[in-house]
Amino acid sequence: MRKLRGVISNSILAVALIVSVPLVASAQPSRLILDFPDLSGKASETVDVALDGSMLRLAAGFLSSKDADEVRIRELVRDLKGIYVKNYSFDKEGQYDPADVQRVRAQLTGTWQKIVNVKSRNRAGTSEDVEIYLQNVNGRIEGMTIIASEPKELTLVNIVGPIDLQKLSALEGQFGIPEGLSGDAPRKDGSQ
Amino acid sequence: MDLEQELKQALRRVDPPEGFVERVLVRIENESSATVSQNSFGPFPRLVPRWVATGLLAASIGAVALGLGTYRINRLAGERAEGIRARQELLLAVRIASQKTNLARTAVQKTSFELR
Repeated sequence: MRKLRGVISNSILAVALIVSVPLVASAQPSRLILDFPDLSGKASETVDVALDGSMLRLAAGFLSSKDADEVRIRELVRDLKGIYVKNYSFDKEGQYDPADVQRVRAQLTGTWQKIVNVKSRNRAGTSEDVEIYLQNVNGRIEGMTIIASEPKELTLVNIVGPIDLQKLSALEGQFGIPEGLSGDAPRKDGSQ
Repeated sequence: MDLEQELKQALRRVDPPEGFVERVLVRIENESSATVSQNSFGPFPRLVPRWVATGLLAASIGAVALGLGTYRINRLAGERAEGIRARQELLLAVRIASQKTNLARTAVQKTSFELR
């Protein structure tokens, strides 16, 4: 009987190993490589934010506990492992190569899913394309990537960890940013 | 007087003067306490007077304490500056991410409104 139990437990272990190895092997990293050394030279303005888990904890520690917006942000980033943002602004159109953006898209395979692909024009007639990707691992959101491209601006956002898209989106209107700045959404009932 | 007699006279037993033993003991005791007092401080008792050594030790301790205090203050100031910078970066990152997601959300809402 003891021998039989041993055989069964060994078999379960072997099956678990066989099943888990391909899963681990196919798991896509949440953090992407957002490295464009050439673009920094061409851009008139560059924003480069790289906050790993420990820096996020440090930053969250300096958020106000009295300011409601900062309390919301602290809640939003509590379980995150990193936030990486690259924003390039250019004086002229066509300064960045679409192939650079394609290099980012190429990393978004496997567990990454594109959930939004918006091609729009703002009031000034400038095209604004936004792609949002979520990394879904066993039903849990483990990462988010935003690729926002305009003729004179390229923005890449990579959030590592469980992120609440609804809460993130709801933060616009804070920090002095007028809500709906980048588009006019006619709302039937005036709600969001 | 022959030589033998002279030697006997010179080497004859003579009692010490009165109080000789006490004086010797007192002198031994004084010298002993003076030696202990000199050796009781530091490895170079004869090179540095005791008050100088004490002053040097106190100054050394003070310098080390001051150094540690300054280091700690600088470290805390550095951490605080780094934390404030990280906070500003976080607010900027969240603002950009929020702007872009809201842009997408607005566009999706607009499209769904137009389809109705």
